[in-house]
Amino acid sequence: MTSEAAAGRDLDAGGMLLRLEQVSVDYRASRFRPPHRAVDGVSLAIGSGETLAVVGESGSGKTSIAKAVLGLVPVTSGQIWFAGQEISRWRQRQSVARDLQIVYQDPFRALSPTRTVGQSLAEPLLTDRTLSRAEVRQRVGAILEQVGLPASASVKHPGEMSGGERQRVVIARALLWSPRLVLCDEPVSSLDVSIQAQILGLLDDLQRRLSLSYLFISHNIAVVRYFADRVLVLYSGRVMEVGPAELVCYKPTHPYTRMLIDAVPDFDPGIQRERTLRRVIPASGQAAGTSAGCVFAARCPYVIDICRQIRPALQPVWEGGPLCACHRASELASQQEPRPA
Amino acid sequence: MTAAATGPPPAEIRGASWRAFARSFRRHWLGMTAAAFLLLVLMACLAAPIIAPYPPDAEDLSSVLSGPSLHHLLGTDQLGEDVLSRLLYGGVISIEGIGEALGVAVVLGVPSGLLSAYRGRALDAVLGRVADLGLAIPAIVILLMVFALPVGGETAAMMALGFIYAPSIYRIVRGAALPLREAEYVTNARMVGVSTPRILWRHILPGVAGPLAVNLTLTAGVTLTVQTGLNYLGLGVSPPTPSWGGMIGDAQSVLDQQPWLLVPTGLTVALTILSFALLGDAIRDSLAEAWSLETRRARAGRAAGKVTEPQAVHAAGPGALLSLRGISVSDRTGRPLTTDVSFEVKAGEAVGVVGESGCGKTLTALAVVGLLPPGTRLAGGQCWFDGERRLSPGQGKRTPGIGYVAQDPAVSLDPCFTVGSAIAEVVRAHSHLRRSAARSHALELMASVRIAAPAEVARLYPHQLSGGLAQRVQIAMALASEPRLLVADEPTTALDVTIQAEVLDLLRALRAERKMALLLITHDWGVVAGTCDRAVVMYAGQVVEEGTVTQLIRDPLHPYTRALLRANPQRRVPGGKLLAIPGTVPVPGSWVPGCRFAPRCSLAADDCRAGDVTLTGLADGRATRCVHYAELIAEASR
Repeated sequence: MTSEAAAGRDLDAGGMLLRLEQVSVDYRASRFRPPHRAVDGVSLAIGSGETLAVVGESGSGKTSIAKAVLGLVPVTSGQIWFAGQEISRWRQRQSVARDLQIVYQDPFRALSPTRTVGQSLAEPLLTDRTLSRAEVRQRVGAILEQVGLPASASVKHPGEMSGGERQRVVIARALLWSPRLVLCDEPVSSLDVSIQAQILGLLDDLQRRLSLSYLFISHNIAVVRYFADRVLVLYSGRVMEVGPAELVCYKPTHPYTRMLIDAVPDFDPGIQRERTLRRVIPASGQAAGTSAGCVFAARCPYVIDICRQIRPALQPVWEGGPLCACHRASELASQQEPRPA
Repeated sequence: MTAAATGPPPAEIRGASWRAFARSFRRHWLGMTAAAFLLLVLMACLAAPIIAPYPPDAEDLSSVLSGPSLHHLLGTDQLGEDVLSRLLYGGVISIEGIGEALGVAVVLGVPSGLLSAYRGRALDAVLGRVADLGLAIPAIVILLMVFALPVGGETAAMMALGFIYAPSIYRIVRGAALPLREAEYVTNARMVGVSTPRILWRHILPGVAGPLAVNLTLTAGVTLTVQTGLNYLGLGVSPPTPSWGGMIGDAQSVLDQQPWLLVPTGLTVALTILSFALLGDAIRDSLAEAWSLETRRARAGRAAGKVTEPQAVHAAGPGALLSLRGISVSDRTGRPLTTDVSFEVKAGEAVGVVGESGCGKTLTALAVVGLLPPGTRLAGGQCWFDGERRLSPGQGKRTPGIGYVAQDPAVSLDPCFTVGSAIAEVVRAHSHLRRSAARSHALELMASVRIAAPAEVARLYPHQLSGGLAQRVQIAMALASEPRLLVADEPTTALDVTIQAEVLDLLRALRAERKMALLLITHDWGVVAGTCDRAVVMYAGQVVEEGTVTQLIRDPLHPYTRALLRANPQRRVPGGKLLAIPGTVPVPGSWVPGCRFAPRCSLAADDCRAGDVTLTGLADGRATRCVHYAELIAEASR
């Protein structure tokens, strides 16, 4: 708690289940090139029974955060704490592995095509040698029922199921050890809208029954506003804005959050026309971010000189309000429809 | 989605994938014949002590070099030994040899290949170098060295052959296993603490089994060739003991006295090797089919009954640029995929086609463009474009005047050409411009789709483009033919929301600039609302509702339209809940009689299931395929 003393209120509430502190993740393509920083000093916290949504475009580092939490990519700097225990390193993770599960985006690739659903679900259970075969079978049946599938689904292969059914199986597998936190990496973006609603409903229902916490990753802020308690907006590996869903999704402060929301196609042709006019198509070809200033400066319609020189700190827009990394945050928040610079 | 709502899957698509493999394999008659022949040879040779009429070394000097006779079915050789008996006994040696060679190759190659792919890093590097070394050693030298040893003989030689094969088996296994290491189900198994041998055995080996099986069958054939050759040279098996190679050698030495002697052995060896090759091919094809959903669905569909023929046909109204009348697309087996799709697009109008996947939206779009995918055909109906009938059944020609933009720009651009030359090629195909003129027109087109630096982008290859840029390039290509209608199939589904908004803005602007009609296929009501004037809602291969976008969104007259709208997260209802539609879209062939949406519909009653529901035309150019639409109006007004 040094530079982010202001951020402390949101990030360091005691009893948080998952806490990331200034986590950075680098990818190195070769020894001779500078590494690519996918996640840049991200801090976040998820309380028990809470849903935190991480929103951003592809390449913003959403999935890298999930991978870092799961220990699938090494953390370059910063710490990850889960239930009061540091898990930044793979070895430290083993004791909490069962409490931390993931639901993938593509339910077809997440399941072994040659194994039946029952075999896929039994496999993690069979690593526990205290369970008998009968107990395993019974647990598999129970978990399938919990996600709304008949027990007879266990003899099917993933190829024989629809996308929605497969995603239910993936969710069932995540629930096998009664986890406390489930990472949902775009769990509905490869599904049809009607099935999306089914799966979101199921996740919501499971959260209430099992008091689960979700780290919900999505590129679609429209999905998130139905589902999350708090929303974190990520751009180019950095946190742009974080706060309660009703504030971030309906009264956004950061220009990038506004851009994300304006990009969601609206049902009302009138509103849609208005948005189209408001949308500023940025000149492409500019570098995504400079090391000095705000990473979003190149695409930002409200950009001023200071944005290109000094990196804005993540601080509350008003006392107790959402955190926003923007030099013009208070100005933008006070204006209902601020004019682009 | 409860079992009751979806219903049990058709019996044909149930059951394990190995059964699917067996079923698929059985349809390859060449492979089946080969397998049967190999099995016959195997059984006969193993049963040689029982079924052979003579011992292999029983000489009968009274009948030397006789042709086939009742006493000696396949004749005798120069010592009067029975050829059939020797063929059977000799086969045992060949089978043993193949078994030894393949056994050694598998034991050495498969585990090392799996480990190498799964563990990677140092182990992979070391094993890779060892394999390279193994591949560099000439096989014949090793074999001759082994034969020169005082002990071992045939068995040692065959095992040495297996040792020589091991590096190539290693390479195949490693190559097939490498992509599986990154598969999410493998990652997941590793995270929950499944042991490495178990992951290799359960998750990776099944994925490798296909190429491995194919390769082993082919290797078996090669082994037989090598072994026969060695024996022919007199290496390995010494004369009184029969071997196929030795018998060919014997036959060759008396070729001028009794040519027949070469026939039984030569034919057996040739047919066995051929069978191995054919079997390998059949295994590869069957494996490819066994886990693909499409073929299985196709087979499932064949069992289902026929669906009604198209009936009601729209009359073309005045001013229609595109008019679809009763378009029905079916697959090769005659199973309908869409039935009786009729709607119109007026000049300059933007029409959306909305529905979930599997409803026939894309097939309809492809039928309009004249690019139905292989395996499907136009079973009925007509497509009129600009006052001319453009499409006759079975004709796979792209319709001029209609541009097409596919969903995934990454796969629809040829990776071998730069963007500029790809667009220029399309320009030249449509306009007879010279090369340089086509180039500059390509740049104009790229500027017209708001590409900031066309000259720079023109030099790029498709893999260097971002998703949004690639989609712009695809739109520029579609514009090259100066189309009067642009058909865009989910043009923004693969893109980020921010990029989607830009591409949709572009489509709207282009439509206004060029007075171009737009047929937009999408599952997203938000996209339709902002871009289209009218929309057609499709469900299970049928049009279920038609009307202006405002009408459809304000007061939908089909329960499916209403349910789709309610399930859409884009609707801004703070604190509201998303209402899911129970169940899933039925696959073609499992459509219920009557209203196809009835199993998922909250308003469904007995009259919905009674008979086919027709598309009822209403006031203001609307149409609905619902028996109970009046109830929807009543509910909305309440």
